Amino acid sequence: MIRFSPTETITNTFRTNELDPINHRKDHDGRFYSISQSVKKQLFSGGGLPKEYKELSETLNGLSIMVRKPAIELITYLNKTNFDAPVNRYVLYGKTGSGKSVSLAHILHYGSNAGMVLVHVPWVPNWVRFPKGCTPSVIHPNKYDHPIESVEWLRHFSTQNGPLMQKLELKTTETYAWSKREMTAVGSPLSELIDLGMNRAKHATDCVTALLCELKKAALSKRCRVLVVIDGFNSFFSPKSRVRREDKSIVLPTEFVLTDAFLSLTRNDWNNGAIVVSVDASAHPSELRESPLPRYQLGKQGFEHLDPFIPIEVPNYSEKEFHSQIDYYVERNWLQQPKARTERGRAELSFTSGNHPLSLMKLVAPY
Amino acid sequence: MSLFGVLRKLPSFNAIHCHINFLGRIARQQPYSMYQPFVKEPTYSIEKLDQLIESGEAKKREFVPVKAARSDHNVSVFHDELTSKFINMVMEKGHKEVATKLVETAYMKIKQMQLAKYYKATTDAERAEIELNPIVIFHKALENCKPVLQLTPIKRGGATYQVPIPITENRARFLAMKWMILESREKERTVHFPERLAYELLEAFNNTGKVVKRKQDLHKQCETNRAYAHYRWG
Repeated sequence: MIRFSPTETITNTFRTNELDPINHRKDHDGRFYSISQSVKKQLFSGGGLPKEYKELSETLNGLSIMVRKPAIELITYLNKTNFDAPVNRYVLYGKTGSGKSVSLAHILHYGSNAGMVLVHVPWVPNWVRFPKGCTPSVIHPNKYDHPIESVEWLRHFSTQNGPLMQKLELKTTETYAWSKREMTAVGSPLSELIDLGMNRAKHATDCVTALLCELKKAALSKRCRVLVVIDGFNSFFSPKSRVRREDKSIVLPTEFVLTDAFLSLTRNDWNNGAIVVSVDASAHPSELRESPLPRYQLGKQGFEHLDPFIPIEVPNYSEKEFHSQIDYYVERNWLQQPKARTERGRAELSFTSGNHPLSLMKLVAPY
Repeated sequence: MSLFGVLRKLPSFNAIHCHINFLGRIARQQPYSMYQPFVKEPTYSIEKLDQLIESGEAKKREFVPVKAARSDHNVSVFHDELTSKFINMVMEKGHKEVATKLVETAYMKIKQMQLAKYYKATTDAERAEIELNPIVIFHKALENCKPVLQLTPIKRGGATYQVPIPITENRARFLAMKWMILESREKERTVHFPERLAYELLEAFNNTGKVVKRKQDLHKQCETNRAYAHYRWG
C-alpha cells in the first residue's frame, strides 16, 4: 500500500509532489521531486551538483532529483538520531557515476529544511588537484593555506546559511588576533568573522578554521545543529597533490590547513550534528581506483580517522528506478528517438548502460 | 523470429566460408572491391529480415553470397544509416570513436538548443512547430543541402567549359555531407566542431545558412552555363 502525506497529489507515476525531503520515505523510492530555482540558487550556486547533471537540469527546464534508497536510508537515520550522543559519520560509497553526489545534494536540501547549519564541501579534489595558489601558512608551521578557495568557500557557506545565521545570531567564544591591529573579539557575531575572511584572502583559511571551531562549540552547547556534507572526502588522504614547494617536492593534502580544519570537524568528539561524507574512486589519482569500497579509498589514515562509520552503498538503478528515469527523460522530451521509447529500446538501454546512472545519461544524451 | 534464428536458416551463412577461397585478382566493376560483382550487401535490420521471411524473399536469397558484416552495422534502436555514413566522412585517420563523439555531441547540442526554444514557447501551437528530434533535423537538413545538378569540366576547342550535368543520388548526398563538414570546420578558436555542426544543421533545416547558400550558388552557376549543356554529348 502506498502512503503519502494528506496534501500530496499524484500526477505521474515517476514523480512525487512531496517537495520536502524530511518527509521522503521508502514509498517515494524511484520518484522525482523538483527543487525550486530559489532553493537551487541558495544551496548549489557554489557547487554540489555534478557539472553535466546541472547542465542537463537547466536544459530540461527544472532541477528534479530522484529519491533513491541511499538518501531515504540517510533521511530515516537523521530523523531518528539521538542528538545528545556523539555525531554519527555516514560514508556513501559506490562506483563513479552511481549517484553519490546527487544523494548528497538531496541530504543537503534535507538539512536546509530541517534548520541545520550546513557545512558543505562540494568537491574536495578541487582543493587538492586544481588549487588556484597555495601559500605557506603564517600561523601553522609547515602547513599550506588556500587563500582563494577559502574565500570562495566562505561565500558558499554564507549563501547556503544566510537566513539561518541571521536567525541564530551565533557569537564567537574566543578572541582571534589576525595581526597587530586586526582582531575579532569574544562575543562578536560569527557573520563578522565570515565577512573578514571574505574580504581578506590572507586570513581566509584561518577564518575557515576558526568558523568550524566555533560551529563545533555552538553545537556542543546546543545553540545550533550542524550538518557536515563533504563530497570526495578520500581526497584529503590522497598520495598526491598539484602543490609543490620551492624544491619541487609535492605537498600532501594532509599538510593543508583546510584539511586539518575539516578533519577536526569530522571527528566524533562533539554532538548535536551529523556528518555525511562520500568516497569516490575518481577523487584519487588513477593508481588508487581499483576498488570503490571505503576502506580502500580512505586508506589506513582515513579509515582510522573515520572509524566507526556507517557505510551506505549507492548502487546502480533498480528496475523501477531505471524505468522511472526513462519516463522522466521521455516526459521532458530528452529521449527523442521513437524506437528507443519502446520496450525493446528500454531493454537495450538497460543492457548497454548496465543500469549505471552516468552511463545511461551519456547514452541518452545524443538521441 | 530472432536474428540468429534467421541467420542459421540461410545457407549463405555457411556459404561464405566456401566463397572466400574464390576471391582472386579478377577485374571487377569496382576496382577496389574484394568481392565479385554478384555478392550482395547484407540486410541487418530485424524488421527488414522479418519482412523478407514473411514475403518469401528469404527463400530466393538462400544461396546468394553476402558480404561480411561491417563493424558499424548493428540492430540498436539508435542506429541510423545516414548518420553512420556521415560519421565515416567526419572521421580522419581512422579515429572512429572521435568522429562518433563529435557527431553525437552535435546531436546533443541540437537537442539543447531546440529544447531551450521549446520551453520558452508559450502556446501549444508554437511548441508543435519546434522539431526536437536531432535525427529528423539531420535528415531534413541534408535534403535541403543536396544539389540537383552538378558542373563538370568539358574541353571543347582548347577551352574548358563548366557544363551542367545530372547528378546521382549518391553524389548529391556526398556533396551535401562534404559541404556540411567543411563549413563546420571553419571556425573561431573557441567554437568547436560539434557546436558549429549543430548550428549549421539547424540553419540548413530551416533552409538558410552557408551550406544551403553554396547549393544555391551551384544551381545559379548551372543556370548561367545552361548554354553549354549540349557539350555533354559532343
